[in-house]
Amino acid sequence: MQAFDVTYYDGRSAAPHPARARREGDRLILAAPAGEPIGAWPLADIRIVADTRDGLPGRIALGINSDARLTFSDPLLAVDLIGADRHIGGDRIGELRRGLRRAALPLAIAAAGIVLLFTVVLPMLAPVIAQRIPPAAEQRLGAATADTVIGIFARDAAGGRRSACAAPQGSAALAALVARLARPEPLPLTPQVRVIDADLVNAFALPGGHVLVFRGLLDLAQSPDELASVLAHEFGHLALRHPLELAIRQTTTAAVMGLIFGDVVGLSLFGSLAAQLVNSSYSRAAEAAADEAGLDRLRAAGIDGRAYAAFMGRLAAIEAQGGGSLPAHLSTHPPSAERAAQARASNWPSTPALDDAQWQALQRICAPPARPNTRG
Amino acid sequence: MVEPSDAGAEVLPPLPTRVAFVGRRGLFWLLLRNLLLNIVSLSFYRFWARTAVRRFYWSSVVFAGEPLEFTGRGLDLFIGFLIALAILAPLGFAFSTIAQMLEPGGMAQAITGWAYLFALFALTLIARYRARRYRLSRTSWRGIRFAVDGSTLRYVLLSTGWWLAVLATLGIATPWKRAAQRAYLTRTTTFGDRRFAFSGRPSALLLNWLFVLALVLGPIALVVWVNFNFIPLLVIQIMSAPRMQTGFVPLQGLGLLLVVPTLGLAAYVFYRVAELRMFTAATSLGEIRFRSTMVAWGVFFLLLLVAIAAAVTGFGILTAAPSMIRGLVASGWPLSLVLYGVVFGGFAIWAGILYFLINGWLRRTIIATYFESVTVENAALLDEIGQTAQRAPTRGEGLADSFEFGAS
Repeated sequence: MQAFDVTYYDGRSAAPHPARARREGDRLILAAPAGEPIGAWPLADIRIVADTRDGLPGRIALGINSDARLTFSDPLLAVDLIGADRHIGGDRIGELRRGLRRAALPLAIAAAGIVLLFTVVLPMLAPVIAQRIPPAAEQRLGAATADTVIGIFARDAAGGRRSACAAPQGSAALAALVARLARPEPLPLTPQVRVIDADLVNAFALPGGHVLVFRGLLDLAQSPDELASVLAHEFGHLALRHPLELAIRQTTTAAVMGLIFGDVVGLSLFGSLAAQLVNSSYSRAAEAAADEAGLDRLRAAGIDGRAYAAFMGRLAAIEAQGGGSLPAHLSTHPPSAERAAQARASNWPSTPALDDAQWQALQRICAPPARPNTRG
Repeated sequence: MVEPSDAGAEVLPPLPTRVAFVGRRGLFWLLLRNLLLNIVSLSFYRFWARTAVRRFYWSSVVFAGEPLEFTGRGLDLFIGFLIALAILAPLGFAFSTIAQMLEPGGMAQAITGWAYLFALFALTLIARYRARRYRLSRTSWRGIRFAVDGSTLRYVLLSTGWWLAVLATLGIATPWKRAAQRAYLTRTTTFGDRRFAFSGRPSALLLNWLFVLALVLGPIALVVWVNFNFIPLLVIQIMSAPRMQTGFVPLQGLGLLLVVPTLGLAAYVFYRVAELRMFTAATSLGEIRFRSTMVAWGVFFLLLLVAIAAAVTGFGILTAAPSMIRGLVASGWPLSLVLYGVVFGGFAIWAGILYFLINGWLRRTIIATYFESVTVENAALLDEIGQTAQRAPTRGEGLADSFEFGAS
């Protein structure tokens, strides 16, 4: 077998020792240039740390967990050593098995902790924290979120920025409806309902008492009672402080996700997105509670609760046709059959939520002020 | 003068030996591979990715013909991460739960809050100390290992004391704080059977540091003082970027907005490079001494370019996002999908550009600039160094003393 010039570092001192290396069967034999032997290593116990590359010598670790090294500049050395014996490079399988055994317990503990966190701790903690957030902080959070949504969706035909719809008579009608709905049972924070001029059929409640209604929903409603029933549902969420709870759940989940997925650039955002996907909608129980609170509110305000069933039925029909751009969450989704039946049966003494003139004005709340309505 | 020829040459000390940074190829492909594997593995590949990058850098630093060797494993980092998770998550939740149960705005809640902050501060220090210990114990040259034998607790106490001094002097004591930390780290480090020594005078860095204080911390403090709502305002501004187009930032303000950070960056880079030169010169291993002639200009322009690239691409994406969202929603895509798609997609493009700029170019150039600037005196003495008495890091057990705690 061919002998190669190498430099041997014995792992006990940093001094280099010139040496000659050759392969003999399944062993690597090392000898001083003059010929006296230095040592022999089974090929199974040596590992190629680095190949000869970029003008640097290659390096071989001699022995398992050993500091002894051998550097070589002839790339043929590695080829010769590896030869037909593919097992060079140490006991890979055994190492993997040892590694898995080493990681198993920490992995099990961490996994159990995370499962516990998401299934028990977070759902328990969010309502507790929500009760203790100061109203001013909730107000700021809600206002910032609402501004962002309006900033994205409220646009004129040319794509320019607009604020929420605010035709004077429409705004007055909306204020009257909100006041009528809020009267029976005051909400934790004064509700601020705004209409956004966009085609989406959607409405949602945000922290701080903000409720955003898209014009598309206004267009779909065939009576003021239907709009009132949707608002009552959103007020139900507000009364139960669901938006704040959701925001807290999203932030805490994002923090935990950030911890799990690491702090690498961009991954914290990935974490918060993942958090939103995990917690993007209210639980079925929360929706049911909001439905119930909404119907109670309609009854107390003397508004026909059957309008809720009618509106949601129309919404479900559109959804079934695959029409419109109804997001799966954030929003008004049709209630369960049970709730719908309850709404259909909610026949109590009622008066229209708004009179005809108010309802017409409200439907034109997004009309441009340059073209004032001539019909009064 | 006697004969200035042969006899003189014999008594002259040998020339200092240069450290080299070998411009090895393949970093880009390594980064691409890491990125793709990170995406596929939901980022869990990152421990192995970091190890691969380290192996690249370690093997690029060549001294006397022999590169450094990194012997760490991705698995070490993964286990360290699991342990950190098991410690950090319960700690965080314990504190927040306790804080919630206490009377809001009361004394007890404030104390809990401060205790939590201090715990985070201490954990950061512990993590940094342990990460360094881990990295060095897995670093060898010519088969001789580095090792760290200091105490994490002492490092935390020392750092806490110096942080108090920094606060008391409004930041002026920072060079002394950093030098004291570096001195402790250096003196507790050994290469083989030799211990590193550290003797430097941070007072030479004071002027540099005062520039940093004036040009970086000064404006920040001013802005915070003038308007406490600055940061929330900024966040809202960024979230609704179109407002910027309509002239929210006055032009003269924009000029100030660019000049002050640029000067601040320059001051900071010049300080850090001067500090690095000082730290290098202060470090010795017996009679073996180190020098660095690193200059700051190149690093500064590099950082400036990357910052400009980040700002330009980020601003472009933010400007394009709202109209894209509207357009996609108008053409019938579900709102939620569009929001996630555009926000995540836009950010992913931006982060991707930065990932390659920072990891493929900026970091490599800075590391190369530093190591290329280092010379070693009396390098021949290195041959005499024997192996460290510390046990070799094993593969299989002994994780308690070895894990790298959290991110480094």
